Amino acid sequence: MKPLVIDSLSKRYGERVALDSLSFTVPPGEIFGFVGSNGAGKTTTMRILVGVLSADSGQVRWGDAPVAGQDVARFGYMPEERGLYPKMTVAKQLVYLGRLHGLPATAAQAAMERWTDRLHISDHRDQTVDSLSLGNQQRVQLAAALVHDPDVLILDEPFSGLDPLAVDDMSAVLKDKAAQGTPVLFSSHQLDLVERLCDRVGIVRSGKLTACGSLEELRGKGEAARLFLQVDGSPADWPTRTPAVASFEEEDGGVRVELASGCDENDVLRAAMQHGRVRQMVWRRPTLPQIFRDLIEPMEDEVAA
Amino acid sequence: MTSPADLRRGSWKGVLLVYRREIDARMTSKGYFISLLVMVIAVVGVVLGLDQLNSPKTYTVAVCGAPESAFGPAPDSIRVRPCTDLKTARAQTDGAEVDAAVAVHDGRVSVLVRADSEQQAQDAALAMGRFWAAAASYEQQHVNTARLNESIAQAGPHLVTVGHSTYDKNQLGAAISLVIVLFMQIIAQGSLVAQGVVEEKSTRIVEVLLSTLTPIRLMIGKVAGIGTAAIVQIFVLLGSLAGARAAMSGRTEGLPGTAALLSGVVWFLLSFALFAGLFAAAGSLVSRPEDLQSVLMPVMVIALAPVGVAVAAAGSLSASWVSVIQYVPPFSGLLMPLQASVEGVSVAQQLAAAAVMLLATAACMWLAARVYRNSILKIGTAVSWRQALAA
Repeated sequence: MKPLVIDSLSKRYGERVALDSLSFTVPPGEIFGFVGSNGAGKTTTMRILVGVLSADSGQVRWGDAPVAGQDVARFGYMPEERGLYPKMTVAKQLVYLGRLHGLPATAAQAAMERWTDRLHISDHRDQTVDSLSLGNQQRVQLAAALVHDPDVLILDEPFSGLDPLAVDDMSAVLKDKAAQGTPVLFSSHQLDLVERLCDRVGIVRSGKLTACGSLEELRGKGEAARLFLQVDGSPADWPTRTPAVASFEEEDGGVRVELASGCDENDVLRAAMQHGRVRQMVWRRPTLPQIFRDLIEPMEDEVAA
Repeated sequence: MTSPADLRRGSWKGVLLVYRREIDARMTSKGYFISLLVMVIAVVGVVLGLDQLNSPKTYTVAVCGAPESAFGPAPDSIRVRPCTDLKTARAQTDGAEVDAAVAVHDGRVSVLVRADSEQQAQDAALAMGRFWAAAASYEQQHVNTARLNESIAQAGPHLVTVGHSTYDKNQLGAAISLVIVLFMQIIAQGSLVAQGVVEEKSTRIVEVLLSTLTPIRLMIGKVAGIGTAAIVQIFVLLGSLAGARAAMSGRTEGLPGTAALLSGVVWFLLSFALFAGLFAAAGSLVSRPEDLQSVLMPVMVIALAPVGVAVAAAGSLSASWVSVIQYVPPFSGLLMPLQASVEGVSVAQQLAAAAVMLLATAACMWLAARVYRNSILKIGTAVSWRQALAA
């Protein structure tokens, strides 16, 4: 298995810059989460990766060589705008797409059977797509991206509109593919899922990669861990006059405090005990949504200013 | 700089797969068979109608009081049958057993008709009566009838055809109706191409397809598939036309001849190829089927223009402006088969016009591919022709 290398991709739509020298790499076996606001350039990047769009400049490499026509057939792609032939049966549709990706007829048939079993839609093989529930249509769409057993997976918002069971199935499939050594790139606005599934995350804004790395690395760039306390019987603003607290904010019925320099947990605990009964004291690390907000919002404020 | 879209993705196998899917999708749909059935019924209906119109009617005239030969040779449409006397003749005519009767009695002849007897039958009966009366009078006047007949035959009349017209109107009329029907097929099938494209765009599957093959290949596979389904439909129609004609044992003089049919089909294929790409390009401009009509309008106008020109040219196929415009696409698609139906052009002339048409088709396909590529992924409001060409 080879890495997918995105090297300095740029793309303009008229005056608007969609991608500005965007670069990152998805190594074999890694699940890479691609996050950003709407219009940040995620879909454009993915469309360039599968050859639906061409870049103005830059290069996409699979391993050491630029991606060529026959390579793209080995990519699995799920577009953000879901698309299937409504009047075609599930089986015919998947066999057709498998064959378009280069599978021989018998292999396409076998792959269709395998993936419909795996995604629990084998009972619907002979039904037309428009007769299926929305959830099952999504499963067919995922099967369409996987039917040719791709060597690279590129999924644009694969979790949007999925029910919790389908989210579990989809997550399991992504993990399996990564475990087999496939580079998996997916975009999502569901940051909790990205946090749970991804080995690394890239945050894109206005066509530029503003941050890229593992969750740990991103946490180093955003705000530090904070101490969370719940103190019964205390006024909400009890940390105001506490020297051990540099700043605080209310959260989940308690407070999240930033320690003053030179102070530690014991200093805060002693102060808290004077205000009431300390029911909970725990270090809380910033979640991906918090990191995302910390990284994106200040920049958008700058732009607004 | 290299990006995947610049590379020629997939092989021609992809085109074949798209082509087969289109044929499968068209030819297994109920709509396809229903429209085919309706057209076959219409064609057979027209052939039967023409047969009915062209078939000669026969009338029966009863004769009595003299042998049948005494009333002269009867026209083909008249069957002569003997009867016993005037009374019987009157009864048979009145009872509509015969259409008219000619009865000789007391040295004179009476022609019996009903008020509703067909004019042809009345005229024939009167002519038979006059023949007997003339023969009887000549005999009374002792005229040598053999010499009289010889003298009349020498004096005439003789039929003389003047002018240079080489075709008959029936033939040309049939050819015009055939090519107009074929052009209507181009518009109908072209609309199907556009609908197929917009269906892929509105259901968004086009993005998945374009990750496996280039826009131009997708378009070619699609156009060829829908075109094949159209051609199968047309061959079934022509087959039913030929079958019905054979069954009517050649009494349908109003129908086009085999050479005209063949030329019509070849020129239909060329014209379809010319327009199909433009219809596909039009389909790629919009994202919803209901927006299709507005973008199809310019293509429809171009596709219908030859019909107007052909109707204008039909009056004078040998006019000098026709001899020029018959080589210009898309007019050649209609004028050439018309000329062929009246043997107004040679095969070499048709080949020359076909070469010009193929060049125009290549130009249209290039244009269509450009529009298609620039607009197929633009979802939302309709893309204008100008924007799609400029992008």
